Amino acid sequence: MLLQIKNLHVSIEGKEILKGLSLNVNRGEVHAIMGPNGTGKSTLASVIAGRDIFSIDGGEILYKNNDISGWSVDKRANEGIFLSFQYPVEIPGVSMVNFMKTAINEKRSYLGQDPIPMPEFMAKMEEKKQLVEMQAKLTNRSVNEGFSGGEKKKNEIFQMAMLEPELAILDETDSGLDIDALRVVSNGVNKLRSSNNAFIIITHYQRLLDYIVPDFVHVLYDGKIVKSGTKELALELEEKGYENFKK
Amino acid sequence: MNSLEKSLINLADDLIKAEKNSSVKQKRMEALDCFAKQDFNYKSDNWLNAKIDVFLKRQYQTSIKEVSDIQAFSCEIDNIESNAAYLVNGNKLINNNKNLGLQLSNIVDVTETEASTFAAAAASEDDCLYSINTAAFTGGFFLNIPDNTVVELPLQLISVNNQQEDSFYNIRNLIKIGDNSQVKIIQCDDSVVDNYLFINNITEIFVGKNSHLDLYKMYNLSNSTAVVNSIFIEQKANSVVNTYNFELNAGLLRSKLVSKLIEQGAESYSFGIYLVDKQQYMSNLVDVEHLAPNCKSEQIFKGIVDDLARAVFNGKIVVHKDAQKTIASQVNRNILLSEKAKVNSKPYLEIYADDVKCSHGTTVGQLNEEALFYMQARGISVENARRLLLNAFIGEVIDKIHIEPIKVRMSDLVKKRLNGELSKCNNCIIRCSDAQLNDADDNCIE
Ligand SMILES: Nc1ncnc2c1ncn2[C@@H]1O[C@H](COP(=O)(O)OP(=O)(O)OP(=O)(O)O)[C@@H](O)[C@H]1O
Ligand SMILES: [Mg+2]
Repeated sequence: MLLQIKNLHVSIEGKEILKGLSLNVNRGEVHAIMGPNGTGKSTLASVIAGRDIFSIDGGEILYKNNDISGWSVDKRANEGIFLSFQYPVEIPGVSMVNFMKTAINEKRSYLGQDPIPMPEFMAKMEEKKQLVEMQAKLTNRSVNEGFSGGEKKKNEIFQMAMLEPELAILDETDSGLDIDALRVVSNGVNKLRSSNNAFIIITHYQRLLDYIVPDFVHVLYDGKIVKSGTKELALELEEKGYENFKK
Repeated sequence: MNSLEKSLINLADDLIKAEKNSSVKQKRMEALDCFAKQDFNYKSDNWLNAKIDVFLKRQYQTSIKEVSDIQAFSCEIDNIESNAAYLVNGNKLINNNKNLGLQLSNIVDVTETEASTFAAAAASEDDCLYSINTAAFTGGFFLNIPDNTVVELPLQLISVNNQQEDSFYNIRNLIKIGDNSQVKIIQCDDSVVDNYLFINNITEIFVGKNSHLDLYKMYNLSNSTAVVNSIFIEQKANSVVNTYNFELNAGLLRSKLVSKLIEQGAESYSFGIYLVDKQQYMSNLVDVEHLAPNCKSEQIFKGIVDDLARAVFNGKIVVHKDAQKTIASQVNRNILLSEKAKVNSKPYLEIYADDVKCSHGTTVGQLNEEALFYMQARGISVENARRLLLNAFIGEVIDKIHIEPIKVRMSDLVKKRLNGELSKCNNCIIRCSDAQLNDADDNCIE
């Protein structure tokens, strides 16, 4: 199993957010997580990525059968975990090229490989840019600086394509995308899908799941997964909302 | 009166007796009278000057020593074509350049007419280090650039110490630029030995109409060196002056820049970076005086402060009554890397004209946590992520450099400084070529 989360309890500043969440993800699977605002979807994504502002009060996260609680954020990334941010961060003064090259080379160094030769790197940038139909000029700018909302989301998928993760968590990558961008982003994801990797897709909209067809849909409600099913569950949620889960 | 004050007064007495230039002699005497009343009156509770008193309590030799054994100095900046002149131990000028199309000599040799503007800008009453400098300077660069002269290659003015004894230097520079002329100057202070030094440096600069000056000042000194550097610039109509301050290392540094825009259309741009750590102390005092209409000024100063270090930025813009249509802006940004690091930033605007555009802003903050997490989530280690952010922060200032080799050199030095590589050879960085820096331990004097 690629990812196994058991009875996870997470809090921040004494406030309990995840209250016993369990989730299993195998290679080759796509899992969608849906749920109302503020129920802990982004928290779950951040905690898997290793953000240390949250405190883990119980349970465990196993990744490739390792308890990763002691792993740094960058180690997790270099081991193949990728988080597409709900709100990508602008980093003025750090160019996309420098950023991507540093990231790729850190991973290579982690894996005991030599730095990527410049021509190979540039060719890869070109290839992946086309995959997400990203405008050429964007990679000449600072990371996300002055990017539109949609461009930022495309940039996340572009980075994912560059880094070729094994577990990709997409946190509302569809929010703020127009219909063309949604198609482009979905195509990007579908092209990267393989039997070796897995996706966790956090979304509010069933529409995305028409493009990226999930194997499982989970409802995250009040810090727990309260229902799991197949893609039909998403349709049902679209229709009825989360009323049924309210206590 | 402590022994340093006594020996400096004795030195000034000797210099006054020997002074052949009567107007300079007069200035020296007035300044000495002034100093005798002031003494070194710095108080440690005044944060602008704090720690100067600590360095002034040390013993230094002040007398002029004949410079005999001159080591080969080369202030290397890769791929830069420049003409260099050296001032050794505060008194001996070495200038092997020919046909520069300008006058470059030792300040102690200037004539009455050449010295007409000497001490016109640095007022003895304002500061005891000004008065003692005027009274007891032992040498310095005198640069006289005629009208209508474009000096193609940058001029490097390097002041070097090679004395083993702890020394106190009063160095005085005077730069006169005629009308319609252009020059780029790189100034550095350097030492080939790692002893205690106190360098009290004053540079007065007079810029003629339509002239253009780029002034680069680099500080890369050991932790046992104190530098008090004061630059006074007076600009005539439509002149443009860019100053760049790169403060990479020093035990104590007080850098003061006073710019007077005395005629219409003059423009003054000042950029600075300061990287301060350990127990270092760096302060930047900037004073821009808009005295005529339609002038422009801008300052961007950025600093990174770590460990127990402390930085001060004191920026003052005064727009005088007649200076209508002034455009002035000032920005000071700081990043604190440790709990105990400290910054005092005080921007200050004083406006007496009514049709002006002025702005100023200060920030003191930490590295952006969100950005750090974002980079780490892409596999970048926290150390490298910090470095990328710090380089980006400083990069805004580096990007303002017009001379490409200096830009490359500075960004390289900043990178190395932020990697902690410079402290391995912190008293000879300016002379280390890149290759040497890479295995710094072998090549540098410790
Ligand atoms: N850094 C933080 N400090 C304090 N509270 C936080 C922090 N991050 C998240 N929370 C709180 O945790 C709860 C869950 O937030 P989270 O962002 O995980 O929700 P979400 O399910 O992703 O919501 P949305 O659908 O709106 O994106 C919210 O109540 C939020 O206010
Ligand atoms: Mg969220």
